[in-house]
Amino acid sequence: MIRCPVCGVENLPNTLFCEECGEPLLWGNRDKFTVRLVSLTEGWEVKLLVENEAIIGRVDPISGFKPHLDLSDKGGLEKGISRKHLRLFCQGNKLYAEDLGSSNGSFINNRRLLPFVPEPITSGDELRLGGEILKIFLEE
Amino acid sequence: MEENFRPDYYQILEVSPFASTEEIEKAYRRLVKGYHPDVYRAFKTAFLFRQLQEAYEVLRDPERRKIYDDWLRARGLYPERAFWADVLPSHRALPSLNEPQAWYILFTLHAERDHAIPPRPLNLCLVIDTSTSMKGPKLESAIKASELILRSLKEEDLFAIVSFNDRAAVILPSSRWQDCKKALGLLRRMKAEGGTEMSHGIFAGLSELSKAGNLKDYINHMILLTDGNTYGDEEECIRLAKEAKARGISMTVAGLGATWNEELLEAIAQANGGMNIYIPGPRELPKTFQEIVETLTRSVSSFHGKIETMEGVKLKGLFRLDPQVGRIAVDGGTFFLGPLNGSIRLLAELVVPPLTVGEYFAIKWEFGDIKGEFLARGEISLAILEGPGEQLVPHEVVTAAERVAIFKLREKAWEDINQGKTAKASGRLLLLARHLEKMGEKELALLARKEAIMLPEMGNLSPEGRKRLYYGTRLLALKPPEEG
Repeated sequence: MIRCPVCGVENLPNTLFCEECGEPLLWGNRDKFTVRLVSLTEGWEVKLLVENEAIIGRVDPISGFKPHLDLSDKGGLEKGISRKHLRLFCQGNKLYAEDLGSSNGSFINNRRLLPFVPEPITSGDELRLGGEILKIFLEE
Repeated sequence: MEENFRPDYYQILEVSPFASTEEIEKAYRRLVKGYHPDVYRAFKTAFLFRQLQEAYEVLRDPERRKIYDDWLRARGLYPERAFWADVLPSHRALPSLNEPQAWYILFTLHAERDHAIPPRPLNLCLVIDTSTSMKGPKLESAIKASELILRSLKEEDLFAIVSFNDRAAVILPSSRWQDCKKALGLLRRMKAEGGTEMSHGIFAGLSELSKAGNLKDYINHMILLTDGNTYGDEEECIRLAKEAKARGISMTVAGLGATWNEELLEAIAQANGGMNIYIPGPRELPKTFQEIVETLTRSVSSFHGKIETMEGVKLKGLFRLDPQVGRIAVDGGTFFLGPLNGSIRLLAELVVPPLTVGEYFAIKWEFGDIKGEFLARGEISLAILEGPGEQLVPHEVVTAAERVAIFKLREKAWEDINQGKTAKASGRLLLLARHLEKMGEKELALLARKEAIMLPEMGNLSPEGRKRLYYGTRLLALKPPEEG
């Protein structure tokens, strides 16, 4: 059983909302991650706050789309980064990565992600987006 | 293309053959989210998963799609689909536990009127409360609404009007549209006097609707309008609503004003599988009735469903999210949904017993119409894995479950009020307000908060606040969630 943090009632495991008070039980207590991304190709380093979700890609001046992390001034176009390339998001106290149908693909530790199939990330994983290789660290 | 066999990619992606590339991408994203990486690596689901990838690769590419469509057409296999269902479970895999666990399935039914399908005629009956309290503008607007409906009907439609107070009177016996025209004068004969005995009205309405002969050829519907409470025949009303369901007759139960009992109307609607709506005043009545009739005219057919569980899985509750959130009465796995047009979402809440590691066929589902013209069915498998599972729940399922959680919280508050537990009910309303605030429903949240504060002192909710909260919290699901 899982105990609701608000009303204390016991719910079946995997219950999405508490039967007694409607409190969401799915996400655990962590909906934010700060990640540190280190470029192994260029040497730059950025911190990125993932609050619910963060998209890595390139600014699109035509549609006005702006990703949370814009790689256009970091050689994104040359490295084959799509405008909407990768989505990082939190659920159940975990961080996930999802390839958003990018042209040149995303890889975790040299394994290609299937488009739109999220996979969990652990600190120290190597992410490859097109020709850019990033090391990802989860900060406490 | 030298191939003898190609699967139905449209079926695999659960899309219509007319789907745009965006819809195909959306469908693929929705389906693929449900696949747990460990499941498609370990089990036979891997095959389904590969098929899904293949279907997506072909249909997303206009050139490859055209070749595929031509291949289907050449063999007469091009699907013309007016009704289909897609299925999204909260989890494709669960951990192996020694205690029961929760599981959810979101069904989306699509019923689309195609030009190839002739519209099904209506078999409609209005059942109008003519007790003393209806006197004046209320009855006037009911008459006006009836006239508007009469004018909007088509040649093949059947229409009847019944009024009720202490007993029922057939104002207009079930007639074809041409004969209905004569009825315009008859409407004026309705007088508001006496008490409210609803079951007489429902009974007479059922008799008129049953005169149509083969009900399967029609969209059969009763609109019941009342402004008060019925006395002593509640059980009979519910029994008759079930009887209507058995005959393929759906009901809209409409409460006018603020003095009637929404729980009885809800019980009647639920027993039938129909809708329960709130009409704040006489001014809104004609428009609401017209909208109901328009929706019925667009309907493809009247549908029912069946969910069969296996391996000890139990169906704990079934809810509809469109056009409003409501509980669906399930009887031996079967239920009635009434006329459908467009898409509706259903959320099934299930309990999975402790199971050993493996892949199980857990659910068989089937949706079809009363005439037997449309059918969609399938099975859902569930993998049980060693160790703690990933909890990646598709956000469509989460949104649906949230709407249902709000509905249940409101249900519980009403229960508490009925039992005189006003302090407890007040606490629930405050929680409700918090959920509504988070969803951006500021006005409704404010109302919930106000009523929560007044409740312990007043011992009850204000009549109007009661109706607005009851029906407002059910309409939150009107807007389907945006794809992220």
